[in-house]
Amino acid sequence: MKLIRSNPALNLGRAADFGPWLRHPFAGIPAVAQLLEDFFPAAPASPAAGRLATDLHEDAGNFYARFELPGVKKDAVKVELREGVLTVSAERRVKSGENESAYTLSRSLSLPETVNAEGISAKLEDGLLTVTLPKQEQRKPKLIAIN
Amino acid sequence: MSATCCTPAPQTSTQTAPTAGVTESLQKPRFSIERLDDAFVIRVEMPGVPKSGVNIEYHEDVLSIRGERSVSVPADWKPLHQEISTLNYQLRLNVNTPVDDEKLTASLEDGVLTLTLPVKATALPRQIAVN
Repeated sequence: MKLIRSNPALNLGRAADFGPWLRHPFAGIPAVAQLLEDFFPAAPASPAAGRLATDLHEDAGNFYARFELPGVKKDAVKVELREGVLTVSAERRVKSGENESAYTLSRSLSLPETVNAEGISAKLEDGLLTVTLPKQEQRKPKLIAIN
Repeated sequence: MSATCCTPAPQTSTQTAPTAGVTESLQKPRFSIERLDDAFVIRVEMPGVPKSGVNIEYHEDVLSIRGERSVSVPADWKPLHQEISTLNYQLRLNVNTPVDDEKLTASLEDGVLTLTLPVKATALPRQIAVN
């Protein structure tokens, strides 16, 4: 007999949208994760509760967003880009004997520039998800001739 | 019968590596311990560590687990926001129940290391018949 316990309290969801915090490219707030833990205390005896560390890097052509998702299978991850906000949600299942508990982790990142949605790729390896987002070509400023 | 298996051994936050003068910072991973009837199941979260980076040692009742991250950020990446630690993991547990460390099995999947440590038969509860 299986007892599946779903823990909606651990769904960080909308309230954990860090979009406004990260909109500035140099936001770099290390205490953001701690802030989250203060608002959403982790449930007892659940190893991954409240933790979804993320970082954002860039180089000339791409953004790279990484998320720590230990114990999450590829088919349990959903990556979504909407209006410049990248949202990753993952379902983690932990089996312990006859019981199985499942909870959802979610994290949003606001991207500083427009991104070419077609070229986004994601790779999940050893519990670390790396999302590569190619930057959109900068449009040339439009010159307006004066008659 | 005590339900506890392991108590965390003193963790050192810095550790001297074999090469002289080099210190390394380590972090303690999240972990959970579950007691089955005849074994302990220890789950250690070490995202970013491949199978080749895991080192498990059992010596004098101390279980040492070390995880070395393979993921390094390419040099030309500029960081915009950083939460993911670059430190390697180390976990040391004092095991206070007699265990059969030779039968220790471990598997690594999706960044979670699962160790199964059977309890020694002599430490299991024994029914005593009353004459």
